[in-house]
Amino acid sequence: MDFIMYLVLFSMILGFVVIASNPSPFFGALGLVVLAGMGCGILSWHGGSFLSLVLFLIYLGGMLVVFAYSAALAADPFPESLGSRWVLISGVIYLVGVVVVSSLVCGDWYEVIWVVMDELVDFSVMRGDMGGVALMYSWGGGMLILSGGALLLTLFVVLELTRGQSRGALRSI
Amino acid sequence: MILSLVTLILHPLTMIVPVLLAVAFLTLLERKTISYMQLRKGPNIVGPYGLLQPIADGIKLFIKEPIRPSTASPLMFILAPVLALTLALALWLPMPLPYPIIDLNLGILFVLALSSLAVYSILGAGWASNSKYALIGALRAVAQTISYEVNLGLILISVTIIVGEFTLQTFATSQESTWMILPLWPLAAMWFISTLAETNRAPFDLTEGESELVSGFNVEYAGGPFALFFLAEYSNILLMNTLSVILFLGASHNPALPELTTINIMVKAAFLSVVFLWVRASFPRFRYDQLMHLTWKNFLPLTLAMVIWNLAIPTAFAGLPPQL
Amino acid sequence: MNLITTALFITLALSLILMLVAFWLPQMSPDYEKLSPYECGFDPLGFARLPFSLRFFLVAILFLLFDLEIALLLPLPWANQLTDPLTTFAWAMALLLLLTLGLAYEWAQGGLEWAE
Repeated sequence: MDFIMYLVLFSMILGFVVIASNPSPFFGALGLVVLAGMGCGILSWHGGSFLSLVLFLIYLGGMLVVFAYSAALAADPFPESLGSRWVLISGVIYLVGVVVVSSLVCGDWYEVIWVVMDELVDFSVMRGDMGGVALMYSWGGGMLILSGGALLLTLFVVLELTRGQSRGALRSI
Repeated sequence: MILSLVTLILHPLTMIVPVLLAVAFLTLLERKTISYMQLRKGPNIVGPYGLLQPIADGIKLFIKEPIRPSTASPLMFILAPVLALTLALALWLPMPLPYPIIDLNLGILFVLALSSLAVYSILGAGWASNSKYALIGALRAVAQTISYEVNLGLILISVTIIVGEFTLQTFATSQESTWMILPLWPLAAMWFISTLAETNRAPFDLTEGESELVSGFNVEYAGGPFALFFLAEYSNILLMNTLSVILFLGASHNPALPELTTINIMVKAAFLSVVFLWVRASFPRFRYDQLMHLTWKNFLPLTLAMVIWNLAIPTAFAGLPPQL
Repeated sequence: MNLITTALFITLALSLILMLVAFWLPQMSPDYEKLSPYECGFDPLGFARLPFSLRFFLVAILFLLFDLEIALLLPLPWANQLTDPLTTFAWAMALLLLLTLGLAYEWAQGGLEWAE
């Protein structure tokens, strides 16, 4: 179990490095995918299974798809892949930096901050994240409508930006 | 040690190997069905009734020379088919047939989340190929897949409101008295059409579009890597049909003959797969704007309304499903 | 190790093995013409990376919005087990109305028209 956790955390750092070493957007999206997937893995291993699946669904299946899609749509004749010289060099520098910094500040902070939800199982009838999220439909209703309103606002904004051949702020090509 | 080896390695393999075999024979079934619908014989040389044809095809594909185009990005080009097949196989693991390999509380969410990743393999393949046909095919495929995914998600929410949980086994329990397709037939019809579109099958196979795009996102792939895409696609077809059976034609468990549960599920799934092939043999391809029109203007408002309807009916008639 | 990790690893390993076999088994004899991008018999013209298409972008954004809405609706099976299902129904109705309003507005403004 610890081994898997180390693997997941390691892959997460690798994802960070891939994004930070500044390749073309498409490869950056790839790094973000790895990073987000591993983040969801960590969440689910600490007991937030609903939260991690919903994050997986929205962030990986929604937002990053749109990002990768836009990156693929954008014209980029000579993409800088992961093997390009500067990307490789900065990647190595970041990796070394991570090792140095983590060996300097390495400590027991995570044992204080992270509460594994499965350890509370004796004290509750329901899983915390599932039972809690249901309350969004009673006391959290205001928040729910606020989120819905934000979605509506986004829809208006996007529509105004992209509408039609002639009128929108961004003209279609 | 031996026991844990058996559970950890052999159990997933007992699921994966039959799935791959089923995929092989689905391709034969497809060719046979379509050819008889067109008054042809179909494959009938290799083995009796062409039964060994899929094996011959597999061997041919894997000893054929794979191509790595000089302009493609090497890593992504190789990783995309691997990702496609990994996802297609991993999706089978939480399927209750009747007992799943990995038993998840939120099984249906897991399936939804993993299947939304399939987009990356298409996008990666199309982008990495660095060819116009591949990129346009991939963009079309992704737009189509994500549009219909919205429908699938909303339909799933409607059904889970009736069922009361995200666990896949609960779907069988809640359908013990009647199939879900009877009370929810509009949703079932939309679900079936959406699965057709989600798996990029005819009449929604615009990504292939032989006449304009040659083969879509996998033009540049040949031999083994193409075989991986092919396996993933057909495995997804079978998976979607199995999921439809679990959701809408459920309760395959007969208390008198519990041994027949798996056979029952798979016979229904095979029947639905034959309907997929029948649709392919019968309908002409959609136009792209009609495809988008169908999902955004017809299905989406309907499914949104059905969510409210399915929330209102159990509340009004005190028919909310029991929890735990 | 638990079953979900090993099972995922097995699927990944199987795909990788198939990929290795596919590159190891056949005889490879690449040449320039074979490895050039496919373009119906002539040398490729121009770059394959396209200019941006706003139409596809709009579809992607719409998908994102409705995906987020699905995420908001996901707790419904648990939410109507709360003490007052009618409150749940009212909130869900309000949320769905908001989003249907958005869809209707977009439809009216022609954001869903593919061909112009």
